[in-house]
Amino acid sequence: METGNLTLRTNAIAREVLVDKNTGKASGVAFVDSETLKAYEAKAKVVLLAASTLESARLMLLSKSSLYPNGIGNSSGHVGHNFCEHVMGPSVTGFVKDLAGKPRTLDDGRPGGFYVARFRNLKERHPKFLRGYGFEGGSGLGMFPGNAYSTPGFGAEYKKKVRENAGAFIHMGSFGEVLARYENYADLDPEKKDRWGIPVLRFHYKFGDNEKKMAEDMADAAQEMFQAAGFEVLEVDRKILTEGWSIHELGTARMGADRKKSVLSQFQQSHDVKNLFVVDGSSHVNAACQNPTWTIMALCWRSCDYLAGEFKKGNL
Amino acid sequence: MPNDSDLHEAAHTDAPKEHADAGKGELTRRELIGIAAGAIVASPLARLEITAAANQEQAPHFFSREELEMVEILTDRIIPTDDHSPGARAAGVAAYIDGRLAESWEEQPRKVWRDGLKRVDALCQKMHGQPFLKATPEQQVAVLSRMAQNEFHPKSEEEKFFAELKRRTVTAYYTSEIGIHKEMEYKGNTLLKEFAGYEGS
Repeated sequence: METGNLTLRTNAIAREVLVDKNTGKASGVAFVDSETLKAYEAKAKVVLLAASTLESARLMLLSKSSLYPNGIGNSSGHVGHNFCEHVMGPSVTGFVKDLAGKPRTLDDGRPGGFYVARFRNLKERHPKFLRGYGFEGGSGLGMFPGNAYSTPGFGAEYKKKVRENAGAFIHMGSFGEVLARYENYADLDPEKKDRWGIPVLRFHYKFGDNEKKMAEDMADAAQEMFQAAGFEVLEVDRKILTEGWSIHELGTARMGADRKKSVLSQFQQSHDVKNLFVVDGSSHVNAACQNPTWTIMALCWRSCDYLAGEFKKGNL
Repeated sequence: MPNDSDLHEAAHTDAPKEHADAGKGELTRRELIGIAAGAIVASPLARLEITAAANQEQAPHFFSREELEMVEILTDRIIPTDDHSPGARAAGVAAYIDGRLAESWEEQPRKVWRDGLKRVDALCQKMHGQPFLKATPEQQVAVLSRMAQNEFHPKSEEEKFFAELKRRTVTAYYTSEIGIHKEMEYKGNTLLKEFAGYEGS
């Protein structure tokens, strides 16, 4: 900001990556001001998309031109495809009787949350599914005793039980890898548009057999862990939450060495348009089972280093 | 059941699923994110817009005086005063419920309560030959016990009303000053001399 070379513009709804017909390179971005509804064009030597997995893919698909009739950077036809995320739902709740009736402690902000890293399909192959999942959980005393809702009855005994057992519950739930498959994709809706007249995305996305089998194992393994730890298992939830629940969308412009089967290079640079980069989760080739934010940031950093080097060399 | 009273507070974790509140309608993923890891089994906190301090002098916003007195007794039978802390009546639970019902965007919750209290009276009449406010404490407990059958799978209208009555009582009591500080002895919002388990400066 202090250099005076950076302008941050809010209320700018990008609608298309512009193309120089002579060079085939990206020349800027067309956008609409969401307040005044005026249309603008920003000129650029390099264009970076970081609008998130779905919106970056949408922008690429929207950027159709005579040079790029399927959308910019989409000669492979893979933009919008290989959409993946995390399958969630199965969880277990337990009661730790040793913790019941313990003196009050302040557990707010303490590292009472825990993470169980992926353990399936690392050394031994699971017979029913590929890849794996992790668990996130927690326990401890909060301000509000949630067990007051689930403890039956009323009266003095009820009140005492709520008081004594609060803080003795433990819970964990799962985040599993949804396999990246070409058949799972988002594309432009031929009719529906947003309030700025820009076509919205529609989704063709379903969990497959692998996700369903993995979810069964999540519930079984979670139960087994709690039992082995000596917790009283109160509830095992086996339900899969609906597609999209994780809001960890990934994979709509995946990177790869083969430009026929991928959209971006390992530096998140478009195979087709060398001054176009997509530095968000859309470049991921799979969802793994972890929260993707740090990986997105690390890849973006790496790509920007590369971009700066190439830019200085005059290669973009 | 109508569920206008719960607001999920923002926190910073990816806690995947919340247990104790299950069955109250599906929480969205965004709402789930708002539940702190340390309180995974705790319910989201109800927003405290109406002061929980009971004010007997002030006219109720929605209930009639008689209805308010019934709610005072019902909620206090659910969470009574014991040797550890005062109960629902002292915590102002009935006034809180009255305020939430009065400000509800929907008509349905008010109807549920007005009809529900009538049913409590009718049940008491049937069981003991007199209205709820005239019944003895033992008779009132007997009425509640009847309503509390099948608590988590209520069938009759009386049983359904008990679930609603208890849910609102719990939300109000455990977010009141008495519930938080006297009953649960919550240690939060105080300066720690040391932070066990953390070795930073």
